[in-house]
Amino acid sequence: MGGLAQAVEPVNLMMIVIGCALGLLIGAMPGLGSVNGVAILLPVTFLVPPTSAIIFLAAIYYGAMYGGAISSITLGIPGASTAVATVFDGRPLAQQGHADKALTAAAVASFIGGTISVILFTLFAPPLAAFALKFGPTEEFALMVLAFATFIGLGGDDIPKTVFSILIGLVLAAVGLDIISGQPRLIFGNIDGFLHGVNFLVLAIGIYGIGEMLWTLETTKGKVLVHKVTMSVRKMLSNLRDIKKYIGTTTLGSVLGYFVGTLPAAGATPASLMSYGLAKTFSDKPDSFGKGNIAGVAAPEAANNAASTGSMLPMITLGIPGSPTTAILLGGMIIWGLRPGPLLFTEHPDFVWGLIGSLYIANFATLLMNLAFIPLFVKVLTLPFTILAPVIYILCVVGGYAPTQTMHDVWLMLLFGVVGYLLRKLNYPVAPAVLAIVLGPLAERSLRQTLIGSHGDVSIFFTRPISAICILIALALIFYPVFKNFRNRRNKSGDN
Amino acid sequence: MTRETLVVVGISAGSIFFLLVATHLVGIYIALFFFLLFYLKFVGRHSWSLTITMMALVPVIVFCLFEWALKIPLPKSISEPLFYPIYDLMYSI
Repeated sequence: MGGLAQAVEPVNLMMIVIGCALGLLIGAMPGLGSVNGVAILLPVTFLVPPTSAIIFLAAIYYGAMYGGAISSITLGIPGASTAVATVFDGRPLAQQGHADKALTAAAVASFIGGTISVILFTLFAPPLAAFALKFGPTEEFALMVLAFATFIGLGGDDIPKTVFSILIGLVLAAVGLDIISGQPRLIFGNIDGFLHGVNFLVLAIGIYGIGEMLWTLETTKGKVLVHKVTMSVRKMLSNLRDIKKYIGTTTLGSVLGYFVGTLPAAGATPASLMSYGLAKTFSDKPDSFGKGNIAGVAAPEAANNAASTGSMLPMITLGIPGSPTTAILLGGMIIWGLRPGPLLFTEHPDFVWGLIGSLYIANFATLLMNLAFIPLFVKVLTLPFTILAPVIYILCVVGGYAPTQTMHDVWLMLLFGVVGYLLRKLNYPVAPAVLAIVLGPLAERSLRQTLIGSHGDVSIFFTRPISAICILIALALIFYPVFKNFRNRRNKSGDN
Repeated sequence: MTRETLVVVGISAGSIFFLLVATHLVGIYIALFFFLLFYLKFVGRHSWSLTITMMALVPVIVFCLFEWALKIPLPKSISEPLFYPIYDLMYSI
C-alpha cells in the first residue's frame, strides 16, 4: 500500500504520465522498442531520486508495450518486437473495418495482463524467483518445443506449409556466428552483413510492413485501403463489452506471459508468441486465427505486458535481467547506488514497492491514454492509400535501418518483403517463420547447452520432470492432427 | 497474376528499390524527397500543394526524430557536408 501512496505523489505521477506518453510514441515507431527508449532516457534519470527514476523508466517500458500494438493494428507494421504477434490478427481486423475493436481489445488485454502480473508479483515474488531458477536449459528447450508445437498442432493452416514456414525461420535464425564455436555460418560466401545474423525485426518489418502492403495493393488495386470506422461513445462501450469473448485467453496469456517473462533471457517477445499459440490451441475456432480473431489480438498483448512485469522479478530479486530492457534498468539501478538481489526487499523496501505501485499506476494511465486516443489512431486508416503507402514504406526503411544501422539490413528487409508477398500469394502462413526466428536462437542455445551437459544424451529431456511434461504435451499436439485425420477417415469408411 | 497487379505491385516494390539505391548515392533525406515526389504526384496524382507539404515535412520530421531525439544518424552519403551546419546548431543548443 505504501508503494501505491508513493506512486501517486505529484512528482512520481508526473513521471508516469510523461513516461507513458514517450513510451507510446517510441513503441509505435517501427524498429524502435522499449530498449531504445529506456537506453536513450537513462541519463535523464540521474537528475531525480532513484525511486522517481525507476518509475519513469518503468512507465516508458509499459507505454512502449502498448504503443507497439498501435502501429501493428493500424499500419500492419510491428511497432516493437513485442508486438509482432499482434499483427497476425490485428491487421486483418483493421482491414475488415474493426480497427477500433482491435485497439480496444489490445488496450484492455494489456491492462488485464498488467494487473494480473502485478498481483502475481506482489504475492509470489520470492517463490517464483526460486522456481524460475530451476528452469535450466533442458526445461527451456522443452518449453520452446512446446511453443513450436502449438503453431503446428490444431492450427487451421495447412500443416506441411506451416512446417515449411517454421523451417525457413529456423534457417534464417542460424545465420551468423555459431554460438558455441564462433564459426561463421550461412554467410553467403563472405558477406559481412550476415555475420551479425538476421535481425528478426528486419524479417518482421519486411514481411508485415512491405509484403503485406504489396498484398493489400494487389487485392484492392490501390483503390480502397480499409473501411471507414465511425467512432462514438456508444460504440466504444459496445467494444468494451466484447471483453467476454477474450477474457479467458487473456487471463491464460497473462499468467503464461508473466511466467515466461520471469525466465532469464526469454522476455516479452517469445511470451507474446507463445500466448498467441496457446490462444489458438484453446480456441473453438482455430481456423479463424490469422484472419481477424479478436482473441488473437488480446492474447499476445496481455502476455507482453505481463512479461514486462515478470522480467522485473529476476532483475530485482536475483539481479538477473529477464529482457534487454531490464538489463538496462539493472545498469541504471547500479548507477543509482542500489544493489539488486534478495536484500533489496529488506534494504530498500520503498524502492521496490514504489516500483510495483508505479507499475500499476502506469498500467492504468496507459489504458486511459489509449482509449482516449483510439479515434485519432483510427483516423490514420481513413487516409487515401497513395498517402499512407509511401509513409508506411518510409517507416519501414528507417525502421529497418534503426536497430543495426546498416543498409545491408534495409536491403534484406526489401527482399523479405517481396518473398513474404509471394509466400502470402501461395497461401503459406508467415507467422510461424517469425516465431521461429525469435525462438530459434533461444532454442538452439538451450539445446546445445543441455547436450553438452549430458554428453550428447537426449534422454535427459525425458528424465527431468518439467521438461518431460512439456515435451509430452508438445508431442501430443503435433500428433493430434494426424490422429484426427485418421479418425475422420475411419468414420467415413464406417459410414460407407 | 494479371498484368494489372504486376504493374501496381511492381511500381511499389520498384519505388522502394530506387529509394534504397538513391539512399546509397545521395543520402536518405534527398532520396526521401524524390520518393515522395514520385509516389504522391505521379502515382497518387495528388495536388502540388499536398505533395510539396509532404516533401518538406516528412524528411524534417524523420530528421528531428532520429538524428535529434534518438541520436541515430541515418545514411547521408555525399550529402553529408550539407548537414554540418545543422549539427553545429543542434549541438550548440
